[in-house]
Amino acid sequence: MKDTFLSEVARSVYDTHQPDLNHVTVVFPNRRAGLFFQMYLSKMIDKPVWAPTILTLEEFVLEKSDLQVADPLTLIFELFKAFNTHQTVPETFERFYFWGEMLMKDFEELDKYLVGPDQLFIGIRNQKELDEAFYFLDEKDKKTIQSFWASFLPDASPSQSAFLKTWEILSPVYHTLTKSLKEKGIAYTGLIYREVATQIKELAKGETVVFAGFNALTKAEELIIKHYVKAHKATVHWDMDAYYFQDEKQEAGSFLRDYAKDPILKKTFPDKTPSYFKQNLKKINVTGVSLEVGQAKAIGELIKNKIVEKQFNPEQTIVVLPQEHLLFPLLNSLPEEVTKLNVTMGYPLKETPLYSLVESILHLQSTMRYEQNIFQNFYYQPVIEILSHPYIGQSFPEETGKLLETIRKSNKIMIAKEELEEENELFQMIFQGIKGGTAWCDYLVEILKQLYQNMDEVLGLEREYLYQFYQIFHRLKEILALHEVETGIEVDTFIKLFRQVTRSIKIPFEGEPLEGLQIMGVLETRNLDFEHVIMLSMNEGSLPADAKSGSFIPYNIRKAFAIPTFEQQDAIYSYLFYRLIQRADQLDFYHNTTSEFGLNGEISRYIRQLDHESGFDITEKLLANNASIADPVPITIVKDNKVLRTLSGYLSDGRGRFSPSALNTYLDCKLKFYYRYIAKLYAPDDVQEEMDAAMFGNILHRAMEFIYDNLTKKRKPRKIVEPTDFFMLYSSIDDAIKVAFQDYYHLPSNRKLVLEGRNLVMFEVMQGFMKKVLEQDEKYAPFEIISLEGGSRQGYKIDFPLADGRKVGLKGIIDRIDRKEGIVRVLDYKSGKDDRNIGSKEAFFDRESKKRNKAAMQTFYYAMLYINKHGDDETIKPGIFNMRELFQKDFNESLMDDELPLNDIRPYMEDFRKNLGVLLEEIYDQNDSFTQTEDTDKCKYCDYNGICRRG
Amino acid sequence: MPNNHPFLVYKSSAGSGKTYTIAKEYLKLALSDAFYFRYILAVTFTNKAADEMKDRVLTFLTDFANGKSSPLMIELTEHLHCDQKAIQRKAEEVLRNILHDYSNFSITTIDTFFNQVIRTFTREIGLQGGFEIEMDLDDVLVEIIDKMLASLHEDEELKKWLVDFAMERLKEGKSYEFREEIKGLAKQLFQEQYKALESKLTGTEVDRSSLKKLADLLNQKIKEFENSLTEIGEKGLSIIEANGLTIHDFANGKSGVANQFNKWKIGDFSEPGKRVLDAMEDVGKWFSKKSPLKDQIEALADQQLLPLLQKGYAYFQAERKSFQTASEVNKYLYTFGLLNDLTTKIREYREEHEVILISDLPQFLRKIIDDSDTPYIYEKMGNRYHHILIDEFQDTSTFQWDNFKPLVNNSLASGNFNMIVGDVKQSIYRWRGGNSDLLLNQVSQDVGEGQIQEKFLSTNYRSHEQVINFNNGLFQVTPLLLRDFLAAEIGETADKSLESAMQRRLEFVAQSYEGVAQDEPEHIKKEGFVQLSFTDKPKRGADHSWDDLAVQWAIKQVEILQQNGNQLKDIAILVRDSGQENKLVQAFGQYKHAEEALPNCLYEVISAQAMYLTNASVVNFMIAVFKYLNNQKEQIALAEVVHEYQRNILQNKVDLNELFTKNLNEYLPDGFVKYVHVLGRFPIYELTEILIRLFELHQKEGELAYLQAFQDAILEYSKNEKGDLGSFLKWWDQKGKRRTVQFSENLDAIKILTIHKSKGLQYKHVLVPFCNWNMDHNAIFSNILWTKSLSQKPYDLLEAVPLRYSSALGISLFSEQFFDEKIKAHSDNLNLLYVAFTRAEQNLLIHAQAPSKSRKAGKIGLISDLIWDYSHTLPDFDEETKVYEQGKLVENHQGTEDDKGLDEVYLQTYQSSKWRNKLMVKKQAGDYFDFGETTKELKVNLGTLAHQILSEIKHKDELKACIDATYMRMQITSSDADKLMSKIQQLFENEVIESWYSGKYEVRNEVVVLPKDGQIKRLDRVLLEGEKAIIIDFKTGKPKNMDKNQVIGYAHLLEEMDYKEVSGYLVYLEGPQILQVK
Ligand code: SF4
Repeated sequence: MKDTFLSEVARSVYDTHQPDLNHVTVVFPNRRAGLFFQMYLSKMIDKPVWAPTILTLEEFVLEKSDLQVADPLTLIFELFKAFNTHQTVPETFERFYFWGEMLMKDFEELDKYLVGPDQLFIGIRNQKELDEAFYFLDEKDKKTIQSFWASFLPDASPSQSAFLKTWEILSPVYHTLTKSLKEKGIAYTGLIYREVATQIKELAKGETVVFAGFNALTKAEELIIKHYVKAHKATVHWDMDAYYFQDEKQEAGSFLRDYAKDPILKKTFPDKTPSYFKQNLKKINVTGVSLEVGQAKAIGELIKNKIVEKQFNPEQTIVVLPQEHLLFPLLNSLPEEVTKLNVTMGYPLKETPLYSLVESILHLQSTMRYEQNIFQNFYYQPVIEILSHPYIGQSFPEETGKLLETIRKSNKIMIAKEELEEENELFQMIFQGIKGGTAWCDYLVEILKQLYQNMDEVLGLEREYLYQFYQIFHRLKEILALHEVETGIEVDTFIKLFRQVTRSIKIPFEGEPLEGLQIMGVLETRNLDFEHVIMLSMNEGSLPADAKSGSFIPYNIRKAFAIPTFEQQDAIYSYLFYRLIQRADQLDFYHNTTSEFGLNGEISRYIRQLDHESGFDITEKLLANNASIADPVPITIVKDNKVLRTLSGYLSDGRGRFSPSALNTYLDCKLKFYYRYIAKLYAPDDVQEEMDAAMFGNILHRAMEFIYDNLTKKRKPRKIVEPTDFFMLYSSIDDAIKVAFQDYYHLPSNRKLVLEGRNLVMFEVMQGFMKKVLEQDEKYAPFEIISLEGGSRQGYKIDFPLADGRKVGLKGIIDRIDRKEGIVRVLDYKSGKDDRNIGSKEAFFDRESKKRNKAAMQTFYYAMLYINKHGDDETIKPGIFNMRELFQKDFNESLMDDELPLNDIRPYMEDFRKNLGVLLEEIYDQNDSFTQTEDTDKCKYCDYNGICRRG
Repeated sequence: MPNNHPFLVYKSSAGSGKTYTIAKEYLKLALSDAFYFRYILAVTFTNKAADEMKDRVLTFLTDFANGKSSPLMIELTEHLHCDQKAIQRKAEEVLRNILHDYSNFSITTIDTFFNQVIRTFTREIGLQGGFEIEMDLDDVLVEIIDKMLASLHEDEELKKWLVDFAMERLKEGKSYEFREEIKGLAKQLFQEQYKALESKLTGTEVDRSSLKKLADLLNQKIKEFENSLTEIGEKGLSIIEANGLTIHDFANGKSGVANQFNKWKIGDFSEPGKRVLDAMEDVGKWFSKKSPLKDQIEALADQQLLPLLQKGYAYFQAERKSFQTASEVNKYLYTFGLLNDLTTKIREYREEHEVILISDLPQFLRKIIDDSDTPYIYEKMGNRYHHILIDEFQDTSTFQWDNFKPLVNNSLASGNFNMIVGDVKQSIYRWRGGNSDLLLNQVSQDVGEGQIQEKFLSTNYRSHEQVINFNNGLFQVTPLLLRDFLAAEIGETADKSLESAMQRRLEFVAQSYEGVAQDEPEHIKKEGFVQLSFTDKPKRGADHSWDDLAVQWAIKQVEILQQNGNQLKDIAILVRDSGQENKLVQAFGQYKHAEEALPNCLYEVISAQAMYLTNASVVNFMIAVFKYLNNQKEQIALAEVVHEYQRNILQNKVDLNELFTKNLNEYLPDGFVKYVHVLGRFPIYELTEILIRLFELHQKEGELAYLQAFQDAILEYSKNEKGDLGSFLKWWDQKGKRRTVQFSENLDAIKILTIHKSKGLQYKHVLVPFCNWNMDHNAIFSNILWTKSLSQKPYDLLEAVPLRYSSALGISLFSEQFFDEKIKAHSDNLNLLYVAFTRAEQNLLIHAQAPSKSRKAGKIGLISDLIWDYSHTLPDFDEETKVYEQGKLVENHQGTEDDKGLDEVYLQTYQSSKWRNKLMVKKQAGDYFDFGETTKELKVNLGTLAHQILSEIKHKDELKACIDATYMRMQITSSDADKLMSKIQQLFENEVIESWYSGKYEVRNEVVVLPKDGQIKRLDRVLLEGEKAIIIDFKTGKPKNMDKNQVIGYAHLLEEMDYKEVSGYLVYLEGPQILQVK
């Protein structure tokens, strides 16, 4: 194996300090480098030794201070308090929160770059101030900042004034904050850095220190390292290559070039800059892939091929993931043969189902409303989410199923607590309104505990989630307990805090840090060298990552005060990139080519740079898709014995009967008929959006039934409706609708019906329509009601003979039958687009015809049922009350045959029976099969279009 | 460099090298100085276009740097007054500067740029620092609509509007689907047209009351009109009846004059027909000549009916316009009420959730830009642009331009060069806010004529000769024909006053196409071919429709093209809408297997449809499994899972009835059945991989592209949304479903795409089979126009009103708005034609509908009418066959391959394997909790924490500080801290332990020993005293042999390091129990 940077450092440390290795402190940018360093070192010794102390620079610095680093939430609360002491109108914590995070970052930077807050946060109000304020800066920086402030003069614009208002208090805020933190013995890292850097002379203990692998140092870090170099002869190892170090245009080398010019640091630079980049001839492949998963799959194949060719050397291979979320696609795509892995990333808590449950519960809390200050009501959306969540739904399938159905049916937007409790502890625990920050934490912890107890099988990872959430809520509780009172946390802020804490938590993987295939994020690659480097997401916005501006300090001011801007960030990425590949000899890059779904499809600038400058051959490829999909196989059900047996269940001696809608279904699509009436696959009616229409029809029918029922049955039983009845009928519309609703919801009659939301609208719309129906009836009165909704729920029946003597059971429920002057009307209420023009009678049973009038067919069918029971001595007139026509002035319920009203159906009956007979024969015909309809329009709203693949 | 006309307006045309031009202008500027590119901002609309433009600029620079000479190079030498060598050097320098300062290379999309500006100002405009942009407007709508519904019982008016809304829909015969409908309406809120008026519409109580007042007044007006005419109608009818007559006794019966009374009675207020108008003058027209009742009717008409009719008509004429106006306004007034309320709800939403909606951005930006001056914006951002170059300007919206205006003006004020490029003729995105008037007029007004220099890009580098010529002719003439037709239309219905007002707008139609004629590039004339054929619309009742003809035509053309050596992948079929796309896809799919299919021809197509993920079995299957896992009561989903798996994936022959009626699990792999109860608990991306393995979906080769794209969709989803199946399925239904898979450009298949999608693309052969689209808005869509209200009473109560686009509007007081929209609709459709016809390079084949015999001369109902009228003037038009041809079909035989993109590779396998056995998560939970397996209780395990503390401190005095620090890092709760404290103090009561923490020894904590070339060892605690060493290892749990061996191992190590007297201790913290190890 070739030398790596860390083996070189190890060699140097060994040569210089052996056998006193345990008195040396080696400082690296991160821990991982230390691990590799130890490994190299252990290869050089000939008997066990105490290892040198290995620290990250941060550990090294923090050790020197007595201040403790506080956690971010504590800091935000402290900052909030400091901020409000200087605000004339105090801000609420809600509004402050995010902006506070930004400010905290700014303060961190300020300290790490040793910028004086008093000099920075100064507002300029006139020319004189402008001329004098920035005397301490050099000419160029002064110009930059003056040009910024110049635009504020002579008068600040509204947005500038807004800016100044905050800007000018930041310095006092800074002082208040740092003072109060120090009093408590806590700090943020930046503050400690500043403390240590400014007092390094006193704090330095004179240890033997080796610094290795640094690049972009903050001002404070620089100061500290320089002190050790100057006063304690510390050694510094720079991890660099002439390729970017000596080329002034390469931003990757910009920091190092600066250090090489520094009077103190320059001595630490080697006389000869290492030059591996050009020495190692590199094989470079660049592959464009549409989106992301394909990149992972392509890598899987690449590694697989290497394994097959026996070229795979896992220890010398690294896969770099600039986008963390590609970890799982990658892990799943690695071939079986790759058995050892080391992953520096973790399992994001945010993507676990438990997280989404917690989110839903919090959403439940944030949308909970009190009614009359006592009754708690919950918004249906989170309720549904919670009940159908796998952790809840699968633990309590019965209870959740029942609740879900009622909720979906009820159209309710807010659901009362009482309705959700059931006989279930967990539900009672979840569905309760909670107030106050710490109380939410307790509430959630309790729920977690209950959940755990209710799971019959806990997957390994799930325990870890549970633990993490448990920790989070405990932590939040601790912090909130300290600050809750002063800040008055609302549930929405609580949610934000929760998200904030959870966002970054990953369940770490346990791997083989020094063995197997290495999978890392970009930052972790520092100081490590591999022969084969594979990188995904080689796109702009990913490598380099998008500049996260998120600062209150404007660009030009940052520039003047040498606080990093996006240019520095770009340079850091650039260094990470070139450093990683400098000693490698095979490079495989993958990038996304599609700018969509929030992804950047532009190839990374580094590829363009390599292409133009490196002189290496770069093979560029495109991962393309070739697809050939087979059409879904057709579905045909042959009427074998089993099918026929089921079918015979609809014969007159069987248990079932066909309704007109069954026949219509058959005519629409034979297969659909099969699914519903033979295979009996039912759709659970949970499709919220489609409920409205069905419900509207349902309730309207009931209400119409009730209103006449009331008249003809309940009081003095009689059948004739007189014109004088209408006064009473109009006034009972509301009651009828209410009863219909009540009935629809299966509410006991003593429970009060409360309508809200959509139902309220439906109620009023219904009123309008019923009034119109009654107006028509009033004009028609007096008439006799023969039957409503088939008299009873049983409806009308008929046993229809087939040619072979068997009889088919048919049934139907007729909305209304009335009689006047010897004319019997068979009526149907319709609330759709139905047409009263019957069109061609032949077409009633013609499935090919686009104009098949289902509604008319249905009325004919009802007439047939009526005649079957009562004979055809009277004139029988079918009719349709079309809701959409009711408001027209020339409303009419008659069916129309060729522009003429169909006043008597009897002459039509023979034909109708004949055609119906043909249809039924076909249904029972063994040689005919249940096939899919040819008219795919019919499939659009079919419940079975998933099976047929015709959605 | 100060410039007299610093603002360059390039008016481009199809194929005229727009990107080239903008790249050229960019380079002229960028090459002027090494880092000058930092001062140039070039923007366009889509990411794709921006990427292309970047590529273009970089490629040019690379070519220059490599010393490749080109016309552009020569042009630049002239422009920069230097020789090619100098340019080469300059280019190399600039190129490297750009590559190494790439973040300052500002070629971007408008949205990206504006976001950047907003980001710098978040605090000032009162946005939260977090500045979350809500992208998902649909979700927002669902929530605010729910809010609105929830508040109904306390808001009578709102309820009334909703009732009106629902009623209106039922009366239109639409189904009662409430929420979706409101959502559809609410989408208006995000449109610029509405937003432009929004400031005037915000929901205050005042507005509500004027709304109500207006509604009352309008209703009154409508009632009055209706009642008056109904009354006359009834009166007329009663006269007829009283005289023992019926309408049928009068001339023409139901369609004759007497029926007018009936019409009025039943509320039909359309313009009376000619028969009625004639009869108003002439009693003789009231009866048919042969009528036996002739005399009676004549007398009746003369004395009563005719005067009555005249009276009615006079009233009708006088009041109709104001009636029409009232009812048009009234019809949609409720939408106003609803939207008004929703607007308020949205505002609340923003505040509550502290987000801004993506649709709000332009307005926020506006506020920033209005409040500050340009230099300050740049100061804050850090970029200072001297030059702004805007591409695709015809698609720019009013808001966008308003936001650019100050920046452009600022630059112009210093005499700096700026430019826009656009083509009014290709403006087909008006419905998305694009306002081509900007390019046509507005811009020159806004920046001042004097600053502007206009240039036309009039060379067509795309199409071959005949195609160019045909389009030149067609698009020079048709705009004029269209203008004249519209002028006539307007003249027919509208007032004279309006006519002149519309005149100007009509001129725009013509003006848009000024300079449409294009040249070919010199020297390189290439032969092309145009064929235009018209077919008649089949008679009613025929067994095929015109669309069927179009489909047949398309298939035929594809065959002919192939027979002439052309390849499928070079053919594009352009359609107007996705319905037509479907038809073609189906037809080609069927034809492929039909007998008529030619053996040497291919019929493969790709379309947006075909690219939908839902076309693939694997995707459908996955979704079905998801549905089933989400709700195991879903019988239909389970049936789908089983069916899809057995028949489409495994392609097994199974007894279908058995399959659907038996225990369905029999048909699924055991692994699935066994784990079905826990699968739903996996993160969703993981779940897909598990399913792939369980069902071996990666074997389904032809569908891997879909599987991959599906997983990409899942990945995107789980990045942003909640991780449970229910939420995912909802998302899938609303959005995910429409995801598509990307195919290779080289796939040998015909591309079927809509004209809208074809913009910016080009193909060798273009077929336009359905050339018969409507010139006007389709009546089915309810196009709501938001317009300023009228100044007269009572309309002045509101500033703006929503109206529905319908011809009734043309006879109201809003006729100006109506005709304005009408003109725009017509030009949109003409522009579509332009876009469609200019996509072709070599062969342009068109199938149009021949006008019916009864068409009135000059009437332009369909786009084909326009083409017809034009092509009829062409000498080569064959009246017999109704075909027009120019040139000869271009043939491309194999081997003439010219374009070659990157090498394409394909995945040979689709890797998916388990990783969980290779990698463990760090078990922290087990350490931290006591998982009582039987009691299932969660208890904190203090042992582990004690372990941590004990290995961390050196001396017992450090205990408190260490626990405090642990608490400060929030690793433990304060009560845990107390417990821990006492637990450890308890330990210290043990003398042996105490002695280790008393300062007697040199202490090494968590110390690392490097063995020779072996595994690094980290020891909890080692105590040293001369050559004596004590090793201490803390443990939780029960004593194990393993622990002992471990410590013995450590001891050996230390012995190797020359410690003479090594002893080891194991400390089990529960207890505590101390074991000495020898
Ligand atoms: S989807 Fe179509 S073919 Fe299948 S059952 Fe439904 S209607 Fe019939």
